[in-house]
Amino acid sequence: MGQADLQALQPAGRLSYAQNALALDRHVALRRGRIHEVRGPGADMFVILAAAEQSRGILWIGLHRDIRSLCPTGVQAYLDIDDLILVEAVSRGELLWAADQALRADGGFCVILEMPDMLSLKESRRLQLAAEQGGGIGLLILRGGVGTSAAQTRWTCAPVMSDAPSWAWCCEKGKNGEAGAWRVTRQGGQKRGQNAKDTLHMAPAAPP
Amino acid sequence: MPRILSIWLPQLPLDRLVRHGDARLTGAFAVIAEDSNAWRLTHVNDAALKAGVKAGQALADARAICPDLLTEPSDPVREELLLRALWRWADTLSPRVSFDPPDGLLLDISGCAHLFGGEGEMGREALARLKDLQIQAQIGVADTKGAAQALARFGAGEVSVASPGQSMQALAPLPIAALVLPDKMVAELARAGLTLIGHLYEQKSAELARRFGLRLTQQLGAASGLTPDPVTPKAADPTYAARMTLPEPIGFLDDLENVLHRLAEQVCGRLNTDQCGARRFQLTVRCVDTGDHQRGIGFARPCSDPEAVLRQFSHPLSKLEIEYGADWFRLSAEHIEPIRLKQTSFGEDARRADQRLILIETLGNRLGFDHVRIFNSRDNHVPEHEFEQVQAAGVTPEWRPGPRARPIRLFTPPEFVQVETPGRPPPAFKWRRLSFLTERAKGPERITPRWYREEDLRTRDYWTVQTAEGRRLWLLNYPGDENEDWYVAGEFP
Repeated sequence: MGQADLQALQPAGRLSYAQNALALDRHVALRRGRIHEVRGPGADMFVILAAAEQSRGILWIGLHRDIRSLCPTGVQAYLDIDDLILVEAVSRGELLWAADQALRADGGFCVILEMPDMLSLKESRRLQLAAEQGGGIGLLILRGGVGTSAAQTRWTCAPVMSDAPSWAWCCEKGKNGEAGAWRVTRQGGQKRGQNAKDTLHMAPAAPP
Repeated sequence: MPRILSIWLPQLPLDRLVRHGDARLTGAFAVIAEDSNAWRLTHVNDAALKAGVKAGQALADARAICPDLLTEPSDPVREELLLRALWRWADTLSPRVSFDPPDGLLLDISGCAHLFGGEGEMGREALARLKDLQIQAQIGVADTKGAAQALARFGAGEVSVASPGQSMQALAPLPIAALVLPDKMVAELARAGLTLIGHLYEQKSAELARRFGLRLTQQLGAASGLTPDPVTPKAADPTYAARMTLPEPIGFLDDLENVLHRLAEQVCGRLNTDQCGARRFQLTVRCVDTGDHQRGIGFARPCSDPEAVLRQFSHPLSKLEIEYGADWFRLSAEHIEPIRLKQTSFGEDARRADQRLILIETLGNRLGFDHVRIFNSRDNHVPEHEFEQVQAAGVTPEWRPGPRARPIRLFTPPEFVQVETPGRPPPAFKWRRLSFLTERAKGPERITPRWYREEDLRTRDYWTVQTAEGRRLWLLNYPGDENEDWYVAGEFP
């Protein structure tokens, strides 16, 4: 998919599903105005590649250790660092409040939230409502357990051993039936996740 | 020829207390100040003077002379505020008013006096108005600042006027202390037999300068108008603030927001007229029972939009605990900066930049502006110092890409690895309670420490390791170190 096609995908108000989504690939798209959950050791890469598709402000919200360990000299290969705003929260309440405000704000931000523990259904529903109001996209990195949630999709991601850096992305849950598993390889120079083949290669490196 | 009017307020600290209705002032009363480890009287009221107390006396002496003496330490800040208020008041007399600290004002009244019916009339008018304000004053009018000050302080009556061109003659009978000179110099001059300003006229100025220093001749020159010494009126720092007093206390959030909205419209309206914006707003809410509560908000850029002020205050206001209501409010703008007008409705980029800044403000006001950050690049070769995080508010992001590919996660300090099979790098190891087998390794990348800094001075070897489990780690080892420890310094995507 070329740059011109991507331009056509920019949302212009309330449009159809295809146009109101963040396309990772011809087959895979993340809906805007929704929250998406990611977990596994490759979750960082999933959100970075997804955020790279978004040409707007990106907020990375996390606790001290998450925000401090982020290394822009590595991320610069995928993202425009100037788009990135870091928000360091000191408690779970602040994390959720910041994510809620950022999703609710005008401008359709891409909000990356690193959750250290489980999100309850009520909390995830509130974030979902905020995302619907603001029109942005929420990407939740779940470091803790997974519960019932209001998220649109849930992904498990892990890097896989291969010559070129590649990852196994598995969509475990999708409200519109987006389930599937993909082996993702990044081809040099492109700022895009490239779908190698539609294989049911379930990630063997999923965390315990 | 300019005409200068000097107002001297000899009893300013006492007047301040009188204006407050201090009952102690009916008896003997003095204002005291600490001067080189001794409390001394600075201002004394009439009753105390009658009892034999003088300004300049030590407090202990004064108490011995007059046991009923009541005192109060001076409060320079409040006195300056009163002087500042009088300075604002003085523009009813002349548009050019300057401070003459600690207890005077200087007015350039060239071309103003006829409005009051002459200079003498003007002085008496000013005195009468000051008397209404319960402030004692003495006034001198002359051609120069120095002469006017001298006449105000040492003139015969309450209003002393030296007619134009006659300043020298008017000064002649005044003591030398009227020229503002150090006490030591006045004493030296007196020893030389020079006690009146008129005595100085008879001396050669070169002689005076040689014996007593240039300061004396400079003061004399300025007082007599030989060297220019204009009144430089200090422009009032505009204060962007508004306050509101209500007849009945209010407590509902809607009412508070209404009040705040009105205040914000006033303050922001004034800011807008001056094309300025404020980076901080401070709200004082005076509750009827618990006193003043201060709440502040900040902005990522100068702001003069009442809606934005209201939006940012909505959280602190909702947290404010008001039980019996509040009836006094003040909103003040701080950190005033000029706003460069730009077209905001035109172009997607400008709109996005606006939305970004609004979000930074919202988050910063709750979490603290130091918790909302962006990356900034640094010129350094040590991986963890190639970048830094700086406060996002007020900074334009300018990221210069680093020259080397680094991991996307960098652990500082590096995390310890349990080596299962020794090697360089270890073929099998445990990290975060997970076992890894090294499939491929690239390295080492050797990085020398910054010897010029006080930090870890060990040389580092970094290895990029592809594990059989899939994760790509950045292993760290200190070559030459006694225990061959390995660490995970980062994780590649």
